[in-house]
Amino acid sequence: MQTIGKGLRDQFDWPLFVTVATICVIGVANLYSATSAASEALADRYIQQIYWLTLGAGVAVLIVAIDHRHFERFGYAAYGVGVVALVLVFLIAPEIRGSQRWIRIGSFSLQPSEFMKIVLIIALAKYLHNDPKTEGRTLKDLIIPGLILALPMALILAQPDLGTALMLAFIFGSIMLLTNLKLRSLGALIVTFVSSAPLTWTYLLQDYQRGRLTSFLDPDADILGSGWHAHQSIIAIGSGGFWGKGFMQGTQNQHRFLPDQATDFPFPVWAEEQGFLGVALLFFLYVFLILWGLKVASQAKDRFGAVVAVGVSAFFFWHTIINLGMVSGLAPVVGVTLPLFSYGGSSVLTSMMAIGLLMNVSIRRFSF
Amino acid sequence: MKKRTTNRREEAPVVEKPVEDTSAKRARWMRIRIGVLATCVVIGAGMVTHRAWELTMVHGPALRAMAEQQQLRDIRLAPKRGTIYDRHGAELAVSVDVESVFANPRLMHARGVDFERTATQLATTLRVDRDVLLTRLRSTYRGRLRYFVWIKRQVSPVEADAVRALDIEGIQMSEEARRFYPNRELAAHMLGFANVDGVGIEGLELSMEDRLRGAVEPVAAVRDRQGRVVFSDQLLDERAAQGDDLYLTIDKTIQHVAERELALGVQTAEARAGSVVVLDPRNGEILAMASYPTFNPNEPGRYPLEARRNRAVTDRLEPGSTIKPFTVSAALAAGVIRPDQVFDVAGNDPNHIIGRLHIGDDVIRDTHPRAEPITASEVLIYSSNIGAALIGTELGRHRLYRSFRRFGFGEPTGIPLPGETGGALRHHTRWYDLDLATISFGQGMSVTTLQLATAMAAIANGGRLMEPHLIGRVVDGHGATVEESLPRVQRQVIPARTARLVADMLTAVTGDSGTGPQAAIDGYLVAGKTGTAQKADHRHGGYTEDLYVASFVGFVPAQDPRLVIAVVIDEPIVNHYGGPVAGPVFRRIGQATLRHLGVPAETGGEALAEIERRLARAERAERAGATAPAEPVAEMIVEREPGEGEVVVPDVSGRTIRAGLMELRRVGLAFHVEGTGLVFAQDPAPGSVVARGTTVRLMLERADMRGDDEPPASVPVPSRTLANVVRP
Repeated sequence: MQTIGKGLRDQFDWPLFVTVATICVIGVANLYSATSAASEALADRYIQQIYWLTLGAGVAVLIVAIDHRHFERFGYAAYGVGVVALVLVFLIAPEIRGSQRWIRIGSFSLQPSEFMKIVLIIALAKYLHNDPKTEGRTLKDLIIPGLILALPMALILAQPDLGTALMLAFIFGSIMLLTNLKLRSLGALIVTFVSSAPLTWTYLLQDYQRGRLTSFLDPDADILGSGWHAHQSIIAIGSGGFWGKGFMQGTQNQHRFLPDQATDFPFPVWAEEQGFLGVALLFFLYVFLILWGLKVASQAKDRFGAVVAVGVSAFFFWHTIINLGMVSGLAPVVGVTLPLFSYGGSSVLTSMMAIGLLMNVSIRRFSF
Repeated sequence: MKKRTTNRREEAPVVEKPVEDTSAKRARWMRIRIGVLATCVVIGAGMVTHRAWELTMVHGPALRAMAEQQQLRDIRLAPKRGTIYDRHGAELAVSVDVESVFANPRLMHARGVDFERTATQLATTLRVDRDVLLTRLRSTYRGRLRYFVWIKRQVSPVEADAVRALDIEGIQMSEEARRFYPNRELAAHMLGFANVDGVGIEGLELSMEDRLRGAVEPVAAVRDRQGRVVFSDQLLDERAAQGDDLYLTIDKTIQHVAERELALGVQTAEARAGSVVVLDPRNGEILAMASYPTFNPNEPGRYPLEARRNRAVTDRLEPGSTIKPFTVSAALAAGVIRPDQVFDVAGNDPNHIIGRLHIGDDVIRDTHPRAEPITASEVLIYSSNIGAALIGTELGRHRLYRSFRRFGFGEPTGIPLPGETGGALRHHTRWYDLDLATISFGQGMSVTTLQLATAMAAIANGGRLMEPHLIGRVVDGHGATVEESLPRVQRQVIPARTARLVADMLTAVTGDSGTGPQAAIDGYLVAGKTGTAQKADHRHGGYTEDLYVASFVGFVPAQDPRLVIAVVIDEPIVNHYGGPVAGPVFRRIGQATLRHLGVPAETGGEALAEIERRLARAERAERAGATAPAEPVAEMIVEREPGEGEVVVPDVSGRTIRAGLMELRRVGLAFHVEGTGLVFAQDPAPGSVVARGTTVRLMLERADMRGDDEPPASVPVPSRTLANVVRP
């Protein structure tokens, strides 16, 4: 590990590091406030989050240490492991809140579907790296990458976990935009996507998922039922005003009107207590992180690195935009976390791995 | 994860497909695509930022209100209201936990519960109207069934058990604190009452609402998805949410005696109403405050508003002769009269009728005319109107007004009871010459019973006016005292020597030749003053002929005062004089209270003999009914008997324009109005006899002038009649 190269210290990506560290620190503080009013079981969540972040940082350092060309070599193997883990979920995972998502390892529960996002990015990067087509891609050229996506996505939809499945699709879409797609293929993809919506609605979605979508379209219809989350979240964000109510002073949170304030809804807590000012700061950090990722992609020394960097950016972009959209009533409530801000072991580890990959590509952008 | 550490320099077997082997064109394309992605990111971020701005800044206030509303909506059920105790810790107002029944019709509908059957069952069990219940269960909000409707608030334990036994899905119970007044009518006017939601409506319950209610901050209370009310852990610590307890200065025993004796006094005199204030002159603590008629705060709705009024602080009355000690005090303190100075109260009647003092066209009369000059002390003993008028005139309007204000008249005492009035004491620049004379003996101004007691306490307490207080201390849920009221001297109104002198003079009032022998108490010397005032007629103006206010205000023991008691009886019928009507109430309250407090009786030989003499006289007086020297009655002085086609001009000063005009129209006079506000001058003067149909000019004060310390510069100093004002 110490032999990575003497240039490392000079090439270390400080802006990326500082941005990520700031988000993490803010996130832990916010989690402390978010869980302070909740029941005892949640009260030490912020401590656990610190453990997870430390572990994640360790994993990220490991990832940074390994030249990403090794990842390219083992890309498909990793993909295979990921898919097997997803299959395992059905065999050994307990059913929690009507779906099977977690695998218990010792006292931890891990969510293979979360890690699948990283694995998908690597697998796609490998595919595109080995298939540097210059002419526009037709639909036929999309069959293999499509299958790479479809297999885990189907498994995750079956858990069922709509949010993560959609996230895979979005990351896939973003990466494919990078390739030279023929307009016709693009059109065909869009038509397929739109026409499959009614089928998805009827056959794939569970009742509660439909409920979330209907309450997104008509938020007032069932405020106490499926609309409760979004309704309370919007009230929390709005009641923060410009300056916020102050740390630990958010009444929506302290009085436990906010649901899932540690996992899916930490942002309303932040917005209520820090106001628009705090929101703007957080937005700035995320936008900077994502654009920085794209900058790293454009400077990557090889195709694999570029695709990975774009994939990581897409990962953060879609997570952030969908989470913020769902807590502010712009998108339906699908369980998508705010990376590094939300509580959750798998989510933190996955985000940290993504950051590690990005840092990896960034540090090696000048080396040959 | 990858297990192998890599050393690029030594191994370097890694496949390399660097970007530079593709064309520069491709690299540029790549940059463009990444640029497109970056643009998408910025657009997305812009959308979310816009949304955040919209929520926090544009809809912020509305959403904030929604947050507060949903958080506050449940607080009604939450904190336990503080208890009100008397000074010794006896409970006067407590909150007891009772259950309330509510329904979740939305849930009931979802579970297929039959509304009609439920309504029938509940109506029978809880004895409520079935149709009302049914309507309530079926009521909707935005086209959907409600998730929360009350079935019956604050049911008995038996009813609660019966409802539980029915076991209907969606019918639930919550604990609520209900306000309960264990002593029923006792101290009802001071305590006031709280409504079914535990919100103070009257009395201390209203004025101390913030203290009693407790957690002003919204207390964590959450409704879950089914609409059930779920309280948070915070509420489990009841003391944290609980309101503060009040310890009043009231003594339950004295309060009870005061109420009992007041009721007896009012009933004996067949009076309309009455009020009593008992306070400790040394520190201003109110020991009892009673009003009659009274009410039971457990069911306030069953009593008329009339019975719920705390008359001791809300009702203004013309004090009449009870004001005279303050006139004399002021004159003595100012040095304009000497204690042994004599006054010629024979009057100046041209026909040499003794006891008539003419001021301009008006006449002041004494009920007990005396040809020979009398001392200031005798002015009080015989309650001479002329004497008081002479002393007041000697003092002058400015100093009389100032002194009265310093005694606390004309402004509220600031006691924390809702609706307290400050009485009415016009600024001296708006007095006529006659006013100076009449105000000196308590006519043309008004006071409250509490003000009388407080002012008299200043004389009893060596001239120091103490701030009256009712709340001893405030204790929070953890038992810590958060507020304590200590005796506070407002000001030295008169020198201690003067106060002593006046106290001695007042001792004579309950003596042999005084107007109030009925107030004498066995074993103690009583100082005090009687008062009998003709009531201002609020319907017809002027003064009524047969309606009086009888009063007695005094302190005991005279040498070392422990109690000040003010008794006011409104509209007594059997007898209307202060001595026989209010005196016995004073005596009986004083007697019981002194015994309760263990105040040692006077033992000095001379004082004892004096007391015995007085007591014998008091008994005689009570047996004989009202043989005591009668109080002079403050009344409007009529010029002469009106002849055919003539009417007496009524006194409409100090009244609203509407009341004044109605009165003028009633007697058949025309009118001309100038200005706004209350009537403060009129021409011709009250009591004048004029031809029917004569135009009376009314000058009104500006509405904002009432109670001002200094009048606006634009108002000329009035003297007597409007003529002088408008035609100087």
